[in-house]
Amino acid sequence: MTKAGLGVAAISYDSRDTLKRFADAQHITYPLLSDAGSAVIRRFGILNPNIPEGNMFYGIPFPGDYVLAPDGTVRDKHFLPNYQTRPTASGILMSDFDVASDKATVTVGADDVQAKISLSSAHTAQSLELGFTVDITIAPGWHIYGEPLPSNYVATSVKFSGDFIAAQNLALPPAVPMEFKSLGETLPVYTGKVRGKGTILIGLRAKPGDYKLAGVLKFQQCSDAVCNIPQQVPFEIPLHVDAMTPGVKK
Amino acid sequence: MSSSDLINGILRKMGSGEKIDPAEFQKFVDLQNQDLRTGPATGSKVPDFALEDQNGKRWSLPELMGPRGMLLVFTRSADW
Repeated sequence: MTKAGLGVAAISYDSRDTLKRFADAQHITYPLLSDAGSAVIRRFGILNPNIPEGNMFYGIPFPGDYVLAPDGTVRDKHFLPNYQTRPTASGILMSDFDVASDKATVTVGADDVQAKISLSSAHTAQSLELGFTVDITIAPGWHIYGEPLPSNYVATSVKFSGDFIAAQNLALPPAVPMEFKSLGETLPVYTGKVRGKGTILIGLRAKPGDYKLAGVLKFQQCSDAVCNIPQQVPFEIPLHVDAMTPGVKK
Repeated sequence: MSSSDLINGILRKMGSGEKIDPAEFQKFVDLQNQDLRTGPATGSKVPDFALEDQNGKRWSLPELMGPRGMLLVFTRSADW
């Protein structure tokens, strides 16, 4: 984060002593700010009113984060309806600042198409959401397809597989409609360079350990004159699943 | 059981390490996530503040800010 020119801080209703113990136990060096009494949580308007007053947990916020521009304007924010899953710092860096991990990257290709697939981090843990990017380069004179597409063509996609992936998505930019006069068809295509961004939610079945995250890149390459057969290119990216770290006890 | 009794009951069990029935826990999660509030809208400014960190250093928003901005995280607690 700091290397990317970004500040980072976390606010909770914990006392300074609790935060000190947590920071020491977890080797956290960025500021953990103590909002004992929850005045700032209230000022942000995110106090969780579902916790009954008088309960020791009264004062907690709805957990989430803000990506702020240097002047304090909200660029983006992540508040998930289910606090059991949360985006990772690396996923946010990737989606909002185009910062990728250099360790969890693979480049694959077939025909005249190359794709570089990068995870936002080579480390993750249960219930975390990783980001990933797909950078596709298509040689001049060729195109590949976006959606919606007639069923006799294959649209471009990247899909991860594996038991411990609870959810995934990939957003590619809108494809450009291209008219094929000889076929009497207008189809959505990509040419040149395309960047897609997606997320992978690591499920609760993910046991700590080293994995190869497997996936498949699908596309079909055509020119004005010919269409190659659709390609399915498998790839693997190393990924380490960390054990969840428990909170500190009082 | 009222929703505040249920929340209090589960929180007590969480505190004592008692076993929690998964269905009961799901109900608790749903209750706790009612009326989600997400604070300042995208494009608006967040309020400034001055808070102490784990080492007793006091920070305002501008002091935390990096040249490209920052990530400001709100967590429930470091304690549980």
